[in-house]
Amino acid sequence: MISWLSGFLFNPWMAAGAGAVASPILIHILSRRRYQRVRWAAMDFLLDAHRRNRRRVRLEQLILLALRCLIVLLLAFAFARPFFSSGLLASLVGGSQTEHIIILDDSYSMSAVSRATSAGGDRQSSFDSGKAAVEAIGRLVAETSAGDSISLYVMSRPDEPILSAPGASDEDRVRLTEALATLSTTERGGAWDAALRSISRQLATTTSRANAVVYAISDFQRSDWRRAEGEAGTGGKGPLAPLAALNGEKDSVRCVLVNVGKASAGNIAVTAIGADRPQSVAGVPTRFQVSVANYSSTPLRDVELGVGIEGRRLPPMVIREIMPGETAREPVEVTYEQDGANYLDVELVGAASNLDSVGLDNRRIASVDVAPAIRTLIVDGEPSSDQYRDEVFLLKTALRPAGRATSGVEVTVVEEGEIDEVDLSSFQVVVLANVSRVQRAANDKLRAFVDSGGGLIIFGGDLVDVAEFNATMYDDGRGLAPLPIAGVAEAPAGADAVAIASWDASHPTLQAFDGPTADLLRQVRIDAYLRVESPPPGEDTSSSTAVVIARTNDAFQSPLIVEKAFGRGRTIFIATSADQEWNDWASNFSYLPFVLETTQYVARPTTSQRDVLAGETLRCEVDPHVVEPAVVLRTPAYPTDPEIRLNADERPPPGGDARAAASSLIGEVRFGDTEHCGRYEFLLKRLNGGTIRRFASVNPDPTEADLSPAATETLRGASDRLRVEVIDDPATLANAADRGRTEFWWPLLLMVAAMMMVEQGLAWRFGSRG
Amino acid sequence: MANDARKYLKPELLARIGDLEMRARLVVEGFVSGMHRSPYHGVSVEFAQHKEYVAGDDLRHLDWRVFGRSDRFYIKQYEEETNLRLHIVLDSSLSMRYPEHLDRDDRLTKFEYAATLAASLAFLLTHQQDAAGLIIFDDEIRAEAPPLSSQGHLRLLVERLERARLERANDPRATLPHIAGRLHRRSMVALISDLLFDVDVLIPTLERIRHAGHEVVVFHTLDHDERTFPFANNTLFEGLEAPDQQILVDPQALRSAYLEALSAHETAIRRACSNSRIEFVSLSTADPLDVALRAYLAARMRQVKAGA
Repeated sequence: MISWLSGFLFNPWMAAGAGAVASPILIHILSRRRYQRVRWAAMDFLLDAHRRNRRRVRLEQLILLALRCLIVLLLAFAFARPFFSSGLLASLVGGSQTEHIIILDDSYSMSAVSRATSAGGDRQSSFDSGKAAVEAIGRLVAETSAGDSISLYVMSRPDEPILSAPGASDEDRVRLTEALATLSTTERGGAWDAALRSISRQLATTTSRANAVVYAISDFQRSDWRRAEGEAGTGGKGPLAPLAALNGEKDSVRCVLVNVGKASAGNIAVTAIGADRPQSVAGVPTRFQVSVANYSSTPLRDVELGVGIEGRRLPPMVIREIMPGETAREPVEVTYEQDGANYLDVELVGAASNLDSVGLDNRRIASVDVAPAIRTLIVDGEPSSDQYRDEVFLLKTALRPAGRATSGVEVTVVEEGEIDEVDLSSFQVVVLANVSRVQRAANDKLRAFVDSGGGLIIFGGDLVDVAEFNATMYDDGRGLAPLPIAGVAEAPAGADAVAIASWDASHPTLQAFDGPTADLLRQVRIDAYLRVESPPPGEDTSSSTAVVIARTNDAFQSPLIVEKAFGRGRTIFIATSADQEWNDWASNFSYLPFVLETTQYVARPTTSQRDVLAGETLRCEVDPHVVEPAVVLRTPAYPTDPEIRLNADERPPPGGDARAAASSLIGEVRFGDTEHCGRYEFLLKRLNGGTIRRFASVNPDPTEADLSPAATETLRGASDRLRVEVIDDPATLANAADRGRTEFWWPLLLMVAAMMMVEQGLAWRFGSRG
Repeated sequence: MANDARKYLKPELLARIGDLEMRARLVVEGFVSGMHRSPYHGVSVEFAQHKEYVAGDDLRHLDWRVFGRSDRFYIKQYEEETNLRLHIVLDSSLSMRYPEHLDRDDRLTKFEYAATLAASLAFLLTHQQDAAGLIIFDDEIRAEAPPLSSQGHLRLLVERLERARLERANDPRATLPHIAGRLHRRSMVALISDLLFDVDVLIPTLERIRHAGHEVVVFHTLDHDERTFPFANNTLFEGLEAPDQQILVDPQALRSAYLEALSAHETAIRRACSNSRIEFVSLSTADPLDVALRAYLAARMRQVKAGA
């Protein structure tokens, strides 16, 4: 009772004074017992008057009595110093026993500082505003509903509250303030869905209170919110679905969205670094595409980008113009001299900082494993001492032209029978050129090679044993070959040769032949080829792993180049020969780029797959056959922070069969504490001495860089099953806390005075009528 | 001197004087001193004879013309003619005792006031050579004296008044008609009472007396409390005449209704009196007594004029 009263009284115990309301009644009763006695002569008139007035007198006495009781009641009430909550407050603070859950968005966009108002403007970050909002809520709760509890969560750690205060005492307020002081923004992106899901789960299991108010304090970026919307699960639509599911029928959960975002804040960010090719080879230029987004409302001019690789700053590059809301993709060409671990570090420099609210997303790093070369093994199916009769001479020359320029490809040629003896693991690409048959053992070896990420290129030729090929290489779709071979097709005599009629120009292998260069490819004459049994063009091939990249112009539109993904590697099947026996491709200009690109394409990618976003888990493969399982990790803060020692877990390679798995276990080290963006370095100790370095990078979530907030209407309609309150201006929250309760004891006293006058007036009037 | 005499018209001063005769004397003297004309003279006095002056005779009655002619002192002697008889009818019922129990020295009870008025009238009349008689009644006639005009009779009246005991309730139904029956010669009747009884009995009786040719003055004597009802606190009212009648009330709440009832009662009587050409004097024990005396004199003047 008293605790309930405390919701609107300063001194709840004072309300006990309301018991004094009995006093006028007592006085009335007692006064009836005390009277003077008068022996009266004119009794008849008195009795007459009494008879006529009895009812009125009683009524008047009752009125006066009620009035006096009311006065005492009001007086007691006034002494209890009552207050009422302002309208906003009333909507925020529920009834008794409410659990207040505050979720503070600590994603990096919250560090935004509006720079548009430079001169003496608001230098507070969104996160500071958010903290102030949390304090305001704490104050609101403390002042209005003492029996409630507060839990504070940050979005990056939704599994456990930062603070869980049972009540709202001064001590708890201090704890809240202290807890807030320790908080700062993380470098993560926003993850509303995960946070709300986790908190809902905890609420469902732990809460003992009837009602819950969930306060989400954030800049409510459109991108975050939309992503959360997309991930909405069971329990209705919208990002608040997990809460809505908790709400149930009782309507006991409410949601208050406090928008502390800087509406005017613009931002510029490096949002992506993409490599044109999966390969970076030492000495060969690697092209990257750097994406720079302009999320402000003004066009950006002459954006300067600082570019760095290991040990070297490259000359800065300048982007001429980025229109508002646009993302510029700029190519950056880097040549790594050395093979091994390297990276590309791109950072916005200097310019346009007045448009940039968030600094974290101005830098982005891509880790790169630079390969010494693309080691290619060519299996020659028709070797000959005559270079021009040799099956692979032209191919070999095309892959590794003579002269100073390096193609980045190293070629080793073996004959058909020697496959068994070669250690394939040191190669990235294997080319089978006009190989008549692949022995079963060699076939297994190749499968393991491709499965672990290697590339296989199969050229056709007159020696290929079709039946054997279909049996071992195709193996009913389980093998390396994309499609079975139907037989050898030759161009009809006298007629025009078969040509390459159609191809997928977007495919990396044929990328060069788009536009005017396409004619080069059309001029290639093909006299014979292996006709593969293929689905007719246009038919759905998604069920098969074979992808036709190019077709001939024969009656069947036979596939000429077909790709198949196999494990982590891939196979490219080319139906015609590598030499000029079946075609004149090698004398065409298109031959050289085609074989080079194809080799690059199928080669085991060397760009790192280890780059993650902040908060995600870094992984690094550890081959227990090569390196020790104990791995050292240097974080970006090294050498200030010490090295971290990690141990590799063994895991079977994905997609492989059990037998292969047993022989080639691949380990992995994982590191989950990627709170800070930057370059991480793994040091792997070789079994036979020496160290392998691997870079990995942790980058900010690029979607977080778009600060534009979700529309208030969107927020308001965030759930169809939940009461959602949106507070756009955090100042109103602070004001609500300050003006949270308005005392009105003095009007009560005025009322008491007024009622006393009324009482006197009535008493006089009742007594002196007539 | 005149003021000194007049101050005894005030009841609160009279209350301090125990002796009724003294009280009456003071009242009348005070009253007379305030008048321009002495009420004792020029009133129906007829010359009878001269008599030689002897020491002790009233010098006022010296006949100066005879003295001028004969150098002898002669006293004019008048025929003593009593042309007015006043029956003072005084109510001595229990109700007249109010506010006896309140124990206040400075207040006269209604009866004391009434008795003072009666004695004053008797005093005045005796000195005017009129005859004053007395009937004291409650539920029956308690004392009676025929109207006579002598100093000795005045003393008798005062004694009767002082001996009155207020012990019985009133019963106007029984006594009033009886009193009416006692009045034979044309005379004046002064009824001094609180009139706390039934109008239906009182008015016919008064009318009957009036029709019998008597001049009537009604002194409606009520206590100041009864006229103003000044009580504030809770009060238990107990009937003076019927102690079993008790009510505990908040007097303020009843005041207006009570006054209304009282006023209605008095208005009824006053109207009846007016119709019958009866002098009605409303008195409060707080009123100075000259009010009553003046009213009596006015009535007497009418009587004289009517007689003439």
